[in-house]
Amino acid sequence: MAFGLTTKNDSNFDVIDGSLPQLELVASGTATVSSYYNMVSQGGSRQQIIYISTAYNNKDIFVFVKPTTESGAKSVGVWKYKVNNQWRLWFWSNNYSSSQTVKYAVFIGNSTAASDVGYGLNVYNSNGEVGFSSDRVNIRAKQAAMGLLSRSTSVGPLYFSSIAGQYALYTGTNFVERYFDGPASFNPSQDSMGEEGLTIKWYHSQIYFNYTSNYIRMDASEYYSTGSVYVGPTKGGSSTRTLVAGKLV
Amino acid sequence: MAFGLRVWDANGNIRLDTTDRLVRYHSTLSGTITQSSSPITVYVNGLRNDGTWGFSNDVPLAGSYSSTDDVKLEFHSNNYLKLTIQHTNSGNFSYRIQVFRA
Repeated sequence: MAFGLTTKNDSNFDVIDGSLPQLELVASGTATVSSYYNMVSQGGSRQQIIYISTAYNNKDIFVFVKPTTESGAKSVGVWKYKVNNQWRLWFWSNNYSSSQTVKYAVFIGNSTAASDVGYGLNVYNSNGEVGFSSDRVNIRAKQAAMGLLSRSTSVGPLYFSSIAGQYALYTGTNFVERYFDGPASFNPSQDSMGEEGLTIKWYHSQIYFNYTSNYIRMDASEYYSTGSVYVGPTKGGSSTRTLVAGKLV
Repeated sequence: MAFGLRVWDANGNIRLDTTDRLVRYHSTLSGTITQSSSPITVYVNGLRNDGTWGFSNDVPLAGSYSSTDDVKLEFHSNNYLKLTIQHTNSGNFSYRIQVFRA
């Protein structure tokens, strides 16, 4: 290492290495969630859309979430998308109630922004990007896992002595799988889903927080189904996703 | 403290501790996969499935609600991710993947 500072944690993992930049918080707050099922099947609307500043239109964003009320078992889904190149976020839950909210924190991957507040520690890499700043909101990550996510497989779980205050990184996007339980030879112009008792189900990824048993996992729950309208065959399915959990300080 | 770095803020709160991991941005991978080139592997130097690497994608792998485009994204082997077109109408798929350490 020709410059900078290297530090490791107690697992010999590089925390600061003078090379990779620390994420920078650019937006945070509380958002009211929608019921995905209600929105799709009952004409509901997105309860709240979060607009990310246009200053970050060309940045990659990382969205951390957690339920506001930390009790029982709750799930949070995120749809991140762009309109006119501006990032927008919409949150949903299958534990929907009109008063349920989630806390979110949006980070960008790399930046050179660091303030000099007269104390603490700023470490830069050779590109002038901040490797660590004690003046930044930090994700004190504790665990991470990589695994295959599908309608029948989940990523994690990550167990903690307590998951109170833990955020999870929502990697990827929402739609995981559209599953048709009929034959590949099904022909909608000749066959009837209703008469043959067939269904199409849509599965979306979500972060599942279990405050009773203190674990967090990523899974893909069924959010919508139809037994009458043939949209197409099974598609999507198993892909690798990453789950990261930690506290923001 | 036998190892590592502990950092406090001005109020005495710990911002970084010896048991923490710092989520750090590694790189962004982008390109287009076509039906004729599928599957492809994308090189990420050092990538491992060891609980310290991760990645995220912006483009819905399963396409939209009713479209037929969808792509499978996998950790393939050390240093490689793999993208495979499973169904497509358009014949190609633009991907954008963010790699990070955690």
